Amino acid sequence: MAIFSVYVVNKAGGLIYQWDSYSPRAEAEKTFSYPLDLLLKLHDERVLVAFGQRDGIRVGHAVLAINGMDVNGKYTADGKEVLEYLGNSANYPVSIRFGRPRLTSNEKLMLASMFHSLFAIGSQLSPEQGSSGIEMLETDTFKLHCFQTLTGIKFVVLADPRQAGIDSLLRKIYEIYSDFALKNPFYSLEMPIRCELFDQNLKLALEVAEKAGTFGPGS
Amino acid sequence: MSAPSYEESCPPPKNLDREKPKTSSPFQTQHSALKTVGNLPPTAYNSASHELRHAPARPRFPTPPRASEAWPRMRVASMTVHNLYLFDRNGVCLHYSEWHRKKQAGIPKEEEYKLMYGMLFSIRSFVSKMSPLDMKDGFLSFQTSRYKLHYYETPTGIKVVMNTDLGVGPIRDVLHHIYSALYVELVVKNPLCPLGQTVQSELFRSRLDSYVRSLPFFSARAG
Repeated sequence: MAIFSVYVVNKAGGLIYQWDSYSPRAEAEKTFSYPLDLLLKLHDERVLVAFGQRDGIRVGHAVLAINGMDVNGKYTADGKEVLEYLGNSANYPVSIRFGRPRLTSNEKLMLASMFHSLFAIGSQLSPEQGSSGIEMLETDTFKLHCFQTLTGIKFVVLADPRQAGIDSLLRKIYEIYSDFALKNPFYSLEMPIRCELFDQNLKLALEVAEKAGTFGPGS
Repeated sequence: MSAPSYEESCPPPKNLDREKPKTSSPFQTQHSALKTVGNLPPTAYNSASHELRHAPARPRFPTPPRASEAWPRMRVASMTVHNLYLFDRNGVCLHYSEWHRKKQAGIPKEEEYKLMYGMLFSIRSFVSKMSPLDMKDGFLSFQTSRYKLHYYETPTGIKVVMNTDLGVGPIRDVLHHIYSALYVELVVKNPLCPLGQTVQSELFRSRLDSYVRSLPFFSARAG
């Protein structure tokens, strides 16, 4: 999917809505024999590869599953500690799936707030008068587009670098927000958005954006 | 290919007190601004009656002017470099130069360097967490409504940061050249230049300045 995720940040910097596409991140499953030739370490309640890049397994990848069963943080599905389990030669040969760790919702909250601050610093360090904050951030794997409304709400979209039409998509998301979140009498401002119609219409808009790339004036 | 200035391609008529012929051009409403501008070549109007012999329809200029701008100030898009920072892996600002900077940050220079370094450090970690796939080059650039910041980092942690106009495309190779042909050659290989501190070398400063001024997207006019 060319659009990876959508974040909506309120004017205080808190995340009020988040959507991720379910595309599989880079994953690799391999069978290993004792001893493991990768160095694993525990970091942030996850078991990550610290050293030993090979065959699609990179530094920073997390242990996602052991013998087909998803791990639960640093514990296996049975409740044993992953590092202890993999340190025991009796458990080998073992099949481990590695991949980029998915973000937990706490991490998403922190990243949204971090972006809120970076947006402001980008405007402060500007060498030109009257600069806005960061509107587009480019890396080699994704492009982040941000639209800040006059009321301080930021709509952030992460997409493929080649995806076009994100500016109109951001305006469209703003329209959907004002139609289905703000006009909802049970929605309080600046609070997390829990409106079904908002979700539905957002997904429709994302599908349209991926296929066509542009929205008509009356859509 | 640079567009000719407006005055060259269509010099406005000298005297515009009379009623202009009704055309649908959007430029017709700006008589008073046109009065201040230069001469029409003499063949275009009848000198006896000071009237335009044939009222030339104003050529359709590609971009409609903003109402607040007078004609003489209509400018060709100029790309330019605002400033350049060089940081080492510990956050020490090794070098800073500016060419066209209209707005200072409002804080002392030392603090500005730290803020810039901190922002870049945070952006790098933000990007590595957010990225859906494994990254190779990492963070490349960001842009706001007025400027674009280009970033290049070497495996040793030397960061080259350049702020330019919005019209500038990817300049990773330029930043790489600044690192390899200027910083490495003139500073790292110089036994008298201590690493880890601000670069004092005048040769480095002048070579960097002339290199940046020679770039195709550098315009000497503060546009």
